[in-house]
Amino acid sequence: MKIKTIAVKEFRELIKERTVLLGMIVGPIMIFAILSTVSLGAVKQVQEQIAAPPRIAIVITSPNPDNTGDVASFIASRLNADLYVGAVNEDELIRKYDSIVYLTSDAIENMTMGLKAHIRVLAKVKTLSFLTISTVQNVIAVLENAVHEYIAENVRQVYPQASASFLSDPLAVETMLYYKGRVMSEAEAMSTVLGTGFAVTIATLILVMASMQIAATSMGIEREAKTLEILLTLPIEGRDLVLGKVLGVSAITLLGILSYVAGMSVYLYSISRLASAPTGEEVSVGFTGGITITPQSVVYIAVSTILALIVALAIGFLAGILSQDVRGAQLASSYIGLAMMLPLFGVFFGLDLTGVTGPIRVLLYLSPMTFLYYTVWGSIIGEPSIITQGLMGLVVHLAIWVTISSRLMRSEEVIYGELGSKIRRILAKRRLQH
Amino acid sequence: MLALMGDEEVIVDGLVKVFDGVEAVSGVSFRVSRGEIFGLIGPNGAGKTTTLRMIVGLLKPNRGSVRVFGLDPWRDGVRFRRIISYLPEDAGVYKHMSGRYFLRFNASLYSDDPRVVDEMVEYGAILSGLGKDLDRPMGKYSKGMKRRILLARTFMVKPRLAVLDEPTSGLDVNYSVAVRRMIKEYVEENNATVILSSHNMLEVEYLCDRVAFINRGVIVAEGTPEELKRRYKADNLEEAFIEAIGGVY
Repeated sequence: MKIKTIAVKEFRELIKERTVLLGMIVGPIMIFAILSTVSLGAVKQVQEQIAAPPRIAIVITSPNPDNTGDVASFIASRLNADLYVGAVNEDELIRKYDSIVYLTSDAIENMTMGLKAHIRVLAKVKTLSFLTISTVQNVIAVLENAVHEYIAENVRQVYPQASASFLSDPLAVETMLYYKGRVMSEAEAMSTVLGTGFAVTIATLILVMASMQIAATSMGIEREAKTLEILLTLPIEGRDLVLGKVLGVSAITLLGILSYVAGMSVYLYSISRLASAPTGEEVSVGFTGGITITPQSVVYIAVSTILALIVALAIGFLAGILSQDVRGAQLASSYIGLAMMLPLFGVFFGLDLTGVTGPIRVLLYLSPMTFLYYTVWGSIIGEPSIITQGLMGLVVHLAIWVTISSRLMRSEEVIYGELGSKIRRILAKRRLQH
Repeated sequence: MLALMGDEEVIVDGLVKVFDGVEAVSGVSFRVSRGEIFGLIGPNGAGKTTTLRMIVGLLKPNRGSVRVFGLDPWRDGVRFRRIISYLPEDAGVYKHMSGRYFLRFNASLYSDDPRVVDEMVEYGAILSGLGKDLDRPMGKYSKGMKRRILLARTFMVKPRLAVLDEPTSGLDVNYSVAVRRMIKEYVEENNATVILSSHNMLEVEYLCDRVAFINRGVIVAEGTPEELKRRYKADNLEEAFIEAIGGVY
């Protein structure tokens, strides 16, 4: 009975607390609603790419009149592909088709003799993500089916003793991806996706959430330690107070930033080595065009990370100003932090932020993390315009959030830490005036 | 020390504060002169703290105004806060910070001149009377020690107006006497002005030049302790207050 009494009291107390209500009941609904919108957008983007049947061109390099004709025609008919013989302009062809399958006379000869054939496929992707990379496998699967069919109908009769390994796996396919004018291997594409989609999302999530919690609770701690009122009556501008606090917390998180940048550099370096391992030449992270992790890129990533974190701290600080207590500040900063991370979750699901347009783009711009992604992505692919966009976005975010926090810092709501109270007071004031 | 006409440093005029549709303060007005210690006396929930918070610019009145040396708490911001110092009733301390660093931190916000800062810290150290304990983390201070360091902080910056909310609240007799003495000496030495709130009538009678009784957000009587006792034919301020509000409720 006593337990029930305590339980009922606890429930009644908690359910009346707006932060708990918002965080535990409204928050999850909101988060999942937004998350589903973002992931749907990402999936839709990929679906659009694979909705139409892929337009495929088969290019026969070094044609040999003795053996290429029949095999190429057979595969082309199964793939519903156009056939090109001899030298072609690859750039023109990839603009027209979704994939190009290169067949050499050696490959065809191997195929007809029951030996493993080496085929090169160039697949065009509009976005670079786990999802789009995996869709390229569809083209490969169709190609393999066609070759299996050809083997079943022709090769098995001529070479009944063909090895089981050849019959089950007759092709060695080298897949190359064509993305925004650049050609890269599948491994390189995967390493780039891992470098941005995975590393940026997960590492930033951890760092941002931890930093925001520190910033948000900083105000709550002042309020609960009863030091806030004295602080607010000291001769200092609201803006300086906000910036001072944010910079103080930034100093604490500086170690985190350094560790983040160092870790990310090591991570990108290691996956770039993985991608360029066969040649052992220049360390490249991605594209065959020679995009490298230069010291300049590391500086851009470091600067944008620091900026993004300061913005996150300013927002976390704002959450602290508006929250009633430390618990409310923690809850608010967790949800705001998660909401801010949504664009990066989008990247994780395959959304190409730089390619998004319309209202979703406006929504994405609400999060400073979109601009962190821009800078990191721009640094990796070597696009100065994307880097500039990212850095400018972060600076604008910083100005906006510091201004809002400064204004609120000098308002009386900061003492009680409740935006709801302010609204009620405004209504009460109006009633009084009437 | 009685107020002279036209010498008012603090002019509080018709302050109204509404919380959630309830008037916590309903048209409070009073004037305080330079060198005066003015006491705001009333029971819990009478509106003392709300009034003091409006005076120092922590709360914005729904109606009415505050002028301290002609400065408005909300319009004149930093200029205003430079001449006042506020001690909240239940003010806390930074538990990891030493008392001396706390004094220096505060002083640094009042002056950019290192010499002035040093002087303030030195003065604050003397006022606090904490000696070697100043270098210990404040989290280890007793309640009385915390109150002393907070009072020292309040006065070390030599404010023209010090606003003290229940300055001896929760302190034992020894500390209370020391704190009262500190307030009195500071005002006499610096010709500063103090507004304080209290429900300790003995304290108010000892400290204040003039007193206002506040009840349910309204000032019901104002005058020197002697005047009020005479007016309500009472032996002490406590009885005068009860008379002023029409008996115990």
